[in-house]
Amino acid sequence: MDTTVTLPLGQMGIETKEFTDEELMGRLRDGDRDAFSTLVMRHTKRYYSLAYRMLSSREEAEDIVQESFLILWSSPASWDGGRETKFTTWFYRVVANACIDRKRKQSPLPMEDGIDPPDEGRGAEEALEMKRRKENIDACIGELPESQQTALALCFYEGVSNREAAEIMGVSVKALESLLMRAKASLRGKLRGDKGREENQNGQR
Amino acid sequence: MDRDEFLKYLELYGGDLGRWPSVLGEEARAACEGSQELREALDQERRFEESLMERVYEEPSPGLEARIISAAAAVKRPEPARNSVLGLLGAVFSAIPLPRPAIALPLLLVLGMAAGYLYANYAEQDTDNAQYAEMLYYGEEYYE
Repeated sequence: MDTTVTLPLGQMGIETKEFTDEELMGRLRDGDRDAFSTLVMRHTKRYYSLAYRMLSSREEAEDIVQESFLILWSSPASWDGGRETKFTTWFYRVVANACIDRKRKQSPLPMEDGIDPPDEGRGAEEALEMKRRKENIDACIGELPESQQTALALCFYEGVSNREAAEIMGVSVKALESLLMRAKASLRGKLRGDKGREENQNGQR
Repeated sequence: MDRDEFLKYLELYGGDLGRWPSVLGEEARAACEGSQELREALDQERRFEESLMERVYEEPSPGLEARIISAAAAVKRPEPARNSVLGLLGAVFSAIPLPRPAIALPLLLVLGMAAGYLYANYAEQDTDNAQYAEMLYYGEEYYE
């Protein structure tokens, strides 16, 4: 997770030194734009992915990632490098909290009407089925409590370790594990139920 | 590892045994070899996780990074306060990897000592003034 890249430091004439995220944050505090750019290039995709998993919207996710990085740029002192929190862990927390705030401000979106498209053969039917399944999974996850959604996004989709996810969410590892287990059990039940309903509908046709 | 433990860890760490803590992963593999039921549970968990991975995902727009960097260029950023004494002190303290109480307590002690010293001088000066006023009122004989 602690990747390092070559950072051209034009102003200092240094070309090949490698910097960790934490070193870059130190430089960012001194107003180093190259350090900021390196952090953005290095981590945007990772934080976008989390934001997308939490908000299910590309525009919203991009917006959140941009806002979070701009906060980092305008007040880098908000990251307390003296404590033992890694930059990536801390920034996950910033992005996750921003997503939670955004979701709370949003009014729930109306469900899409299930309009049957014109029959265009088996391929189209399969594609439609796949699309429905994906949307169904999204809807099921969207129905989970906020904390379970965050735990699932971090551990399952982002591959963050349970310990780090617990630190990001500000809960104990036990509490996080409990959230994960409940999220999975609940999803399993929902998906099984939906599958059963689908099979019944197909049988009736 | 018995059946119940296996199922509990399966729920916790998922269907990829490579992502389990290494000791537990080894035990789980051994447990699976000896049990058809556990192998089926593992397969079921993997199918469930695969279905979750089918969830909709859209890649970010190309150039998102460039957009963020150029947006930052338009944001006014407070200059680091290195020119002032306080700014310099702040920089020195932030460079020292000490927990905050370890910095705050000596700082409080120094402030307390400075306040005590100033107050003592002030109080002494006050006493002198009062004596001088009394001397003017009663005359110098009063003190002789």
